[in-house]
Amino acid sequence: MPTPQYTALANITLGSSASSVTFSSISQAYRDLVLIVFSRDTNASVVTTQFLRVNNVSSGNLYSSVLMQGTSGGANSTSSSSQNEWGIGFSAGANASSGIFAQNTYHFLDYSATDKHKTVLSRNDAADATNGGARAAALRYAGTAAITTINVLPATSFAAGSTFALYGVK
Amino acid sequence: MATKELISTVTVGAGGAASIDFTSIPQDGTDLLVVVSARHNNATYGDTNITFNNSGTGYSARLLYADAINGGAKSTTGIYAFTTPSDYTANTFGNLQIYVPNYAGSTNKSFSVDGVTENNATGAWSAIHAALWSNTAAITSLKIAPYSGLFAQYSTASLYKITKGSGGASVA
Repeated sequence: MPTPQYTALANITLGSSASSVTFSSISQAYRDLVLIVFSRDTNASVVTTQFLRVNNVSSGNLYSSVLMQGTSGGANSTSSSSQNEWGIGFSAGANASSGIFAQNTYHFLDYSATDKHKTVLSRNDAADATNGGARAAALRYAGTAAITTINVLPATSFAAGSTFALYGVK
Repeated sequence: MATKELISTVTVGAGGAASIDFTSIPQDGTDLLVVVSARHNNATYGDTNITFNNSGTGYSARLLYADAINGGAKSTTGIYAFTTPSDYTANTFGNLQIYVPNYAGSTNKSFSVDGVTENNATGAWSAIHAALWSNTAAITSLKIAPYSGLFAQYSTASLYKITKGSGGASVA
């Protein structure tokens, strides 16, 4: 039997609202990680921001990003440096139509390496015609420690029904 | 059960095909991934339609697109990804990827579509879509069809089922 290349590591579907979701003690046996987040927030908006940290680090200005996106305002690109988290993702807000969630894919490259900063490629989508966007981003964490923990944070709180799934890739 | 499992691959034969259809999709997975390599015999458009459960309504998207000269963003009421039309470089096929989280669930279906036409000229297009099917039904079938004309011989599409793990996350 061939060796599986894509392995489900962890998953949670929220039964009630939550102020954060954390994957800890992540196996170091893989090359990359893929995190799929399908989320709705209790924030009073149609679309709101989703945040990401690694290893519980929320200080030191270690997070940077560059993104391109299409929104109702047109096509644009932005960059951000020296932040204390990544604020790249989308969540559908409480004012979105019922049953609408945004989706986010984060691909952590060489997450277990200890000789390099960590890079992440993300795709973040919120399909609302007025408030949403299609976004692609490159993220960097300026630390060489292996990633053993991933923190996903809402603008206000993640709503029930949001799902978070982590996969290891060899 | 494998985490990422190939469900089916379709390869278009001689004479072309009006669509590529995946039916009776197993309902025991978490997400769907479709990977497409396609060319069609229409020289005008690179648009490719994506529909679920033979439903023609409820679709919308916000997309970012670009060709070699211009970029832009727009919203649409259908899903029009890009594959390669017949007047592009010969023997060249476009690439398309569709990712649908929680396809068997009871929420509206948000999904991502990324596509490019491949062309050794300035006419190539690429786009990323934030897409939505406003329907809470589980997805049991998926159709990919060119805006007009037929998919050319050797076009392929592969459907994968991705199955989540359990536990391993904490909430606060």
